[in-house]
Amino acid sequence: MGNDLHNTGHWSNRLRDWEQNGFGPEPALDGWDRLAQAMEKKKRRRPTFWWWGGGILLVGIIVWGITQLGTNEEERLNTAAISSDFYPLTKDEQLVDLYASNADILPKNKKYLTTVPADEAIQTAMPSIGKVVDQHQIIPLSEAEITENIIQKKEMPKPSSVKPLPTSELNQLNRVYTLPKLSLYEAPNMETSTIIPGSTEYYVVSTDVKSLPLQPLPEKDRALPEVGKGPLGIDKVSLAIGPWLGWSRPTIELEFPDEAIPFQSKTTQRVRTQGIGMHLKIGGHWGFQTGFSRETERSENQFFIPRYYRPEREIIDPTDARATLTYEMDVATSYTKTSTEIEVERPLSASVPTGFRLLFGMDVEESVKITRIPLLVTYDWAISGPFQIRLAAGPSWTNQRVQTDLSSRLTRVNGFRLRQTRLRSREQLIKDTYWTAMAGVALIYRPDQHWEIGLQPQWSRNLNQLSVDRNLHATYNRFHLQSHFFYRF
Amino acid sequence: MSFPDDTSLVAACCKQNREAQQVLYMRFRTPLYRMCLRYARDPQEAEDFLHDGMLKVFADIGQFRGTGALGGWVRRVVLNVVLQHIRKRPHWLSEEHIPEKEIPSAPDLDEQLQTLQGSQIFALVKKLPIGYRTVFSLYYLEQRGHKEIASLLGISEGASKSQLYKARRALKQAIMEHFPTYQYRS
Repeated sequence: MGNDLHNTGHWSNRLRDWEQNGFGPEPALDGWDRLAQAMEKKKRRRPTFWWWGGGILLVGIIVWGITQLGTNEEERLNTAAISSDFYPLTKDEQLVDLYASNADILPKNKKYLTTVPADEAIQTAMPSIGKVVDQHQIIPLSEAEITENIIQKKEMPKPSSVKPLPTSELNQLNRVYTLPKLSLYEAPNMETSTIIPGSTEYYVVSTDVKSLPLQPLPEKDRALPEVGKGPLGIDKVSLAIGPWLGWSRPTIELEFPDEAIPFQSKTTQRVRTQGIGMHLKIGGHWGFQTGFSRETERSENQFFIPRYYRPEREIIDPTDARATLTYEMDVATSYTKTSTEIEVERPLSASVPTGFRLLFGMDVEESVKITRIPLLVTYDWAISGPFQIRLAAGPSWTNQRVQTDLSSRLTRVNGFRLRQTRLRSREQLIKDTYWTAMAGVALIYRPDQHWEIGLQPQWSRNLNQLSVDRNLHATYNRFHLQSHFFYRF
Repeated sequence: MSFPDDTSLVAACCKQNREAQQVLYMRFRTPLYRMCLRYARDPQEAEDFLHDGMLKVFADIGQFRGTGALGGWVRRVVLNVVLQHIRKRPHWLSEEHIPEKEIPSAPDLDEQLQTLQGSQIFALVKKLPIGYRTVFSLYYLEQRGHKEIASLLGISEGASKSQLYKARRALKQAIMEHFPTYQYRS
């Protein structure tokens, strides 16, 4: 059969003519009505997209609001029954003077010349009194080494005569560099005496810079941008890449924190707490969950080109690189201090394809002694076929008694164009009862009334911690299987 | 409101003018419905094809450039929708076995069809299994080649040829059954 079969003479034309004008079957008379109705419906459906968009926006605003809760200093202090000096010391940016430092860095050496001027005893004892929490140890150097390394003797006084340098003098130093990690040790005995605003304790840090031939910037280049603003007034650009459901969340961040570091690249792969577990719900509304969690953090900062002196080659200081990895295996027994979790969930109204319902739950997490009772309003919206979007938000009452290791980190460049970093870590007992807010959005696949599969990220805020939980669950009638990933920031 | 020519009708349809859309629908509904009937399993499905096809026409009417006849463009759009539906059907290709010996020696199919009325041809084609008549209609009435049919229906070129061959045989047999005089003419 070839193309010649198209050569059908007139019979196909006769058929077409008949289809056009002949007497025969006709479409239903209400065809147009149905068509017009369908087009109207389609037209009316458009606003639902706006509702949807509005819903997402609302959830976004709620999440944003939750994240903003933790920035309220007063609220934090009121909600966390922890030592009152904790937050001021780690959050209060009035501490910029505490670690006024000037330093030249030899990146590969990582050997810092350290002097503590006011108290020779503290200077000597410093490396031992604190718990070193970073791989960079501060090594006291001999006076001979200090003398040798301090190139500008006039501006860099000897240890015995170090005094707080006024800004004007610091600005005149020929070699002013950023020091990414200056105080990376825990020094509990020094907290109140030395880490207070206006303290005269200065840690002057310097290293050999002979290998970095520097040229002073021309005067015109010394104009500094507004503090805290980078190009185009942007403070920070952050890009998160990687699988959202994977084991890690690599991020690349560009920060423009201050005038002294016009450009900083920070690559972070950070998962503070990461868990995977199984949640089995059998009968009724009781369920048990167990699993293991892993905590890992790795970040690397790169600081480029200080403002005042431009080296002939780029200074890349990887001193902020650090990695920790801890594993925790939870066993689901009631006698261990682990993450046995009992959850009770009771929908207060029937699940519906589209509509509101209330969800009341109780969540007892034994490991950290948290009891949480959320009251969520959910809105299920059947978007297409068996797919549903579920928006959930609401308050949650929480009672917790947490013995936990709190760490906080403050990185700031002070007015002297120097950088200070504090990393504090201490055991804290947090006892508190408070209200928190939760919000989540889930994509549900529910082909029939018996079973559903859902993916549900959820944000919640408690104390100063933002949690992002992601649940993947499958439910068949009363059987509920859940895989649980959570990040805590 | 009157629409003196296709250009004004299309322009009004583009503005979602219901009256214009109704005029367009009423003008083409019968031939399109009959075309849909050739591909549908039953009249209800043909109605659905027409319904979905016209929705597509009204959605895409802005793409009509006026270079050809409006009727031809509308027909093509509706046919594409019909073929989309057909492709979604599982196992729609016809595999009915027609024993060779049962087909009497008959004159050429085209010669036989030439003697029939349009409605008679339609009735015969309508009796063919769905796979046969789909390929048959595309080949003879839409003037599509096997390569294009294969592409449109998501089948192989060989399958298209096979379906057409079987369609012709089945049609011949149907003609013999319904118009037995042909047996004597051969």
